[in-house]
Amino acid sequence: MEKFKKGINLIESGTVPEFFGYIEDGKLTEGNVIYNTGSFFGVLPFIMKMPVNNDYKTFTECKINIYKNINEIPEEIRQAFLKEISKNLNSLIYYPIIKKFPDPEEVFSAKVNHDNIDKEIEFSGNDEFENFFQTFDFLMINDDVEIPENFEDFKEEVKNMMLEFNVSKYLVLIRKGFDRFHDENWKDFINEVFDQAVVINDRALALYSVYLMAMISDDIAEVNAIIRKNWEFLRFNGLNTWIDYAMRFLNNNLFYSDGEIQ
Amino acid sequence: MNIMQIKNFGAKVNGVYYLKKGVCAAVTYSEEEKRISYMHTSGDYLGIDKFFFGVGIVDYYIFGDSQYELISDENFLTMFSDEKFSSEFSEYLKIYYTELFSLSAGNDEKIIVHHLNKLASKANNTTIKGIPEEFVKTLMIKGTFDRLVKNSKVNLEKGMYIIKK
Repeated sequence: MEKFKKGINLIESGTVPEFFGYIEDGKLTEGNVIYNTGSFFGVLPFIMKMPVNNDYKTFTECKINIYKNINEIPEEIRQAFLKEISKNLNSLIYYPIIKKFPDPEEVFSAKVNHDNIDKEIEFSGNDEFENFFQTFDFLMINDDVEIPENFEDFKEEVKNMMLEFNVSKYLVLIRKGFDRFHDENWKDFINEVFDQAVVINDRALALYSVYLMAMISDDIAEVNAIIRKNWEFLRFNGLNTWIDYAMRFLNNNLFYSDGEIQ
Repeated sequence: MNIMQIKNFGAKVNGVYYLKKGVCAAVTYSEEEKRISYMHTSGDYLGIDKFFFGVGIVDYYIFGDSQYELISDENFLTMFSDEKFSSEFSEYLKIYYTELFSLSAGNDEKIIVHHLNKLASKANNTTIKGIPEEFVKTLMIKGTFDRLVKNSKVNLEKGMYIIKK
């Protein structure tokens, strides 16, 4: 580590840097950019072997680690280095398409929108309509399903059923499970099932989990927590129905005060 | 041709991918368009974009018989101690960044021509010499490729867009 007084020019404008640095303590400026304690500087021009546009000057007294090769970076700050090269990559790869540093939420939403538009061109079906029917198909099923003896085996069976995408069997299993296991920890399990539904991107299963929680729990905070997760999931999928769940969340808060049902 | 999405976009992955063999398209999205921003070839590392936000914001698709391996973040970090890896990785980043930088001012057609030229020049290392039509159709960016075919810059041969020599 080297110490530098305020106002020292570390990399002169127009030169190709032969090193990059990590600020242990202090501030450094490059044109209008300020690098603070815990930042790397000069990585991009060092890697690209390109001359810098501005001087890199110490703005305060600085303690700086200078590196001439990336293998000199100590283990404890390698993660920060990867973050730095990732930041540079994200700028370079997204600038031509959006003319700014990317915001992940905007990028995800853009992909979801493109995917939905593409689907509409290919299929005339309506996702929400299908969801509606899937939600109520349990009224029409009579599948015979074996219920395991203990709750742990039951949970395993439910998870396997989810992966098989067998919605009707899954519902019968849950209904029979409700009848058999009264004192088990259903709430954690339903949250787990909800998360799994998100992983496999099954909106109907996620919605069932919301219903299940509403049936089981008399704690409005727990029900609202899963409603919130459901709306975030819908919103991530670009579906406007997320607003309905946001409204339910607000209604619940309006009608039930202090978490107690009135 | 088999086209496979690699888990990265919007996902938390404990590692980066090393493309042992073949070709991988890096796709980016804005509200207005989808773009093949980079064509990775053998020896490239995929998924570095995830280190800043914790999740990937670049979508990767590998073609045909391409092969990759997942290097865990832990192992990837320890690899930096190795002088040979560090110098090769620096060189890789230099080419990767410089190529992206040089494409930043290009329009769609110029970028695609660049990608196809790159694939043709690396054809000795891979069996994939171009970008599959099926993939272009899925991305809904066929218009740009068809214009290049019409302008005799690109050929469509056996379901593959290949640069015209």
